[in-house]
Amino acid sequence: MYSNAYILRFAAIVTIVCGVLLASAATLLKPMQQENIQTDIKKNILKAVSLLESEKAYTKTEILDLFDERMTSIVVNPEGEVLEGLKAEDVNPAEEPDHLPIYLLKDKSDDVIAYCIPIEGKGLWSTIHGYLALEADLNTVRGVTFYDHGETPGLGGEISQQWFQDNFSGKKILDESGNLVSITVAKGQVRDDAKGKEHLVDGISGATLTGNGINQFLFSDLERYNPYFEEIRNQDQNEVVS
Amino acid sequence: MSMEQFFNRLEEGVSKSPLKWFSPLVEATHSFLLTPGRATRRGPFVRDNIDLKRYMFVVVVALLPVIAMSIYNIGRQAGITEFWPAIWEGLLVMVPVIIVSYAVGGFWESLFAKIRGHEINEGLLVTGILFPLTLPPTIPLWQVAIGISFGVVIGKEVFGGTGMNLLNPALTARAFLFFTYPGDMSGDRVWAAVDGFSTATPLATVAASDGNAVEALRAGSMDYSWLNMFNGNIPGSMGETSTLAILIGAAILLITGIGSWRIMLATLLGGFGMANVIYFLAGPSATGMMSLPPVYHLVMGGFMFGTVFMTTDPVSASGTNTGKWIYGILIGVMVILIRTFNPAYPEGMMLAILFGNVFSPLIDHFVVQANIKRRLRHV
Amino acid sequence: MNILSAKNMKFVKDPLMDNNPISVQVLGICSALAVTVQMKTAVVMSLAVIFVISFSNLTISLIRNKIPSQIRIIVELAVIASLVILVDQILKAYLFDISKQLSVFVGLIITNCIVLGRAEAFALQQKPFASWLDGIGNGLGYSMFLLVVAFGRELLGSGTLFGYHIIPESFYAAGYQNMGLMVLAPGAFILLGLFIWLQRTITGTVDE
Repeated sequence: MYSNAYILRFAAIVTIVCGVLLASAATLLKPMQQENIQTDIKKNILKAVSLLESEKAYTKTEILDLFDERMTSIVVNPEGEVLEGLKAEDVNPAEEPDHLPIYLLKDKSDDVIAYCIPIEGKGLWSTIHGYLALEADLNTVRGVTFYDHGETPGLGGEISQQWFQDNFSGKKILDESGNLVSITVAKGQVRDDAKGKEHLVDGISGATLTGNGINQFLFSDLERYNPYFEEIRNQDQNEVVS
Repeated sequence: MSMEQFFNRLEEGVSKSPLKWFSPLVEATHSFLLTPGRATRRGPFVRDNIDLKRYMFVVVVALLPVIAMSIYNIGRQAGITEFWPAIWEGLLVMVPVIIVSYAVGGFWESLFAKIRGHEINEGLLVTGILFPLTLPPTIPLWQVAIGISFGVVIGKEVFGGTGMNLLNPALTARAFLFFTYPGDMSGDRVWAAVDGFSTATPLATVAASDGNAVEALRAGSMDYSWLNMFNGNIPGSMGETSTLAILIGAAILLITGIGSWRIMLATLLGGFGMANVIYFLAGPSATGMMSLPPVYHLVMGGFMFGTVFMTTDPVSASGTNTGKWIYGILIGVMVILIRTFNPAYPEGMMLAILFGNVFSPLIDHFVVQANIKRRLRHV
Repeated sequence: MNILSAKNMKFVKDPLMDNNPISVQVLGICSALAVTVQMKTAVVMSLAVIFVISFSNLTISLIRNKIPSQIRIIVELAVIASLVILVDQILKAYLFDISKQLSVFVGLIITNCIVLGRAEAFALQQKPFASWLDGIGNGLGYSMFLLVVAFGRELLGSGTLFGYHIIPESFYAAGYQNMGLMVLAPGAFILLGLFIWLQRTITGTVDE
């Protein structure tokens, strides 16, 4: 039998050795892990604004360089005001639901050519995460990605497939009088003579409810951003007039 | 030379020749055509000359009205209004599916019969025809082959063959296809007629509607009236559409005593009762599946087909009389619960029956235990 | 030429067939179901498990005479948990995409019965090198099934292997479809069952 003192001493040593080992490993690797998480987010944003080719594999540095070169970000609030001095990276959505990040893609003359916003909400079984990018007119969809979800493989899971996401490009989120109607995932194929075709994308057969989920959160997310978008749209029009 | 003599000689010849691999096949054909004259001679035995082969054969006979209706309906839903061309179209769709189902199922059955050294069981006679009837007419033949292989091997043979299986093999096969190729099987849009235009089945229409269910049924391009659904003038899986034909089959099963009236009645009561509970609790303002009147549940989807032909499978159902009531009610209640509350699957019959199958040995166990306890008190 | 003596070779070979942790002892099934959708994740998971089992066996065997028997399970768990967290951290830093797909299942190696089982049953009594080999052998036995199941699931379920399309486009054009069930957990159960059936038919193992 071992004495209690020995057992305590032994337990203490094991604890210290394991603790030191893990703490040092965690500290050493932390910067790389953070970088990985950021790269992953950036990759999805770049995909949404169609700067990445879907078939090509990109290295980490390529993605980071591309992102730094082309993308900037601002933060707005639901009233449509820009919160000065804040970057999208600073936003913690859990604690600051009113801080809405927007990623901007600018061309060489510093004009914004695409706006990209994070979208998320319930599908059928799981929370779906993604990004939605709009063209400079803040009406036409430039691209969309859904990257993190737990929908049924083969049915709802098809949302992470390229063919489904490609459907969104070119669709309009506003009706003729400029009201927000968002994009709706139809039930099945959109027929050529369908009403409001520019707001409809082909649905996935057998995944009506995943589609309904997407419809709901797309609309509510766009609604939150709309005051700001509205302002930009008005500015643009004024510029055209003047 | 009579048929009997012919088969006796054939059997003898085959068992000694290099063709002895085929002897189970010959035996099966023999006893299927000429039901064995041998009856049990020494007691104790059941006072009945029924055996597995005749049992299965009656089920196939009971299925004939369903098959006939389904052949006609396939043609009719494909847009053919005249009678004979519609039948022809239906035959073109259905016969290959049935042939594939029997041929592939038969292959596995004989393979296992050979390896295990037993005779070919007659179970396949029923499984091989029930399975195609649960499929949409648009099913690709290779999927039929994969499905029946799975049903026979995993659903039955791994448990030791006919009589040992826990689950109904035909439904196991269907469940496999349902989860493997959901696009073709989801029960959402199963019917692509000749011009490639597909419509939602009645259940899918209701599941997707956000208004009153009956109005949603009448609003679509198809006329889903109660009578149409009862007669079977609707798209759906091949065997499930016509409640009328299924009821004729049910009558045959009940008159011959092959199908358990307890199970059928219990399933019906369970389903109808649960549908009533939901309908009246939900109130008149309800939408979607909640607003579907209980009588509609009975004629929609696979409810009737499952109740008459699937739940009564004697192998996978409960064996005790009390157990049969519990088993049936459990299935009926589950169907309506799945239909109403599960967001992903508009139809719940297949899953409910498989669920019931899994529980049936447990139900029997408790019924027997309760019986023992009750009788012990009188000792 | 034999690097290992016959006795040592047995430590490695035994768990591969006659005493396979998955097919014979039926341990570690949970993770076998979860990470076998793709070959890539299965390979990484296999390597992680081989690393954890072999080094937990080695460490525990090294200190086996010092461990007080009253707290031996806690000590074993501490060693295993440390190794697992280490692996998890390294994956997050160097193989981020895969670690995202493996998600909690790397962490759950801690609860993989094979690891603690080998520590208790083998490493506590045996010399370090033998324990290390036993760990490698059991890890390989586990990996073997993981890879076979993942091979079947990825090929049938997604038509790919290691993410590369194997099934030609012309098959899809002819009506071929991926088997959705294989991507779901029951697909793993069915394949695993079939492989165990096959293996037991070959080895003739029968449960009493």
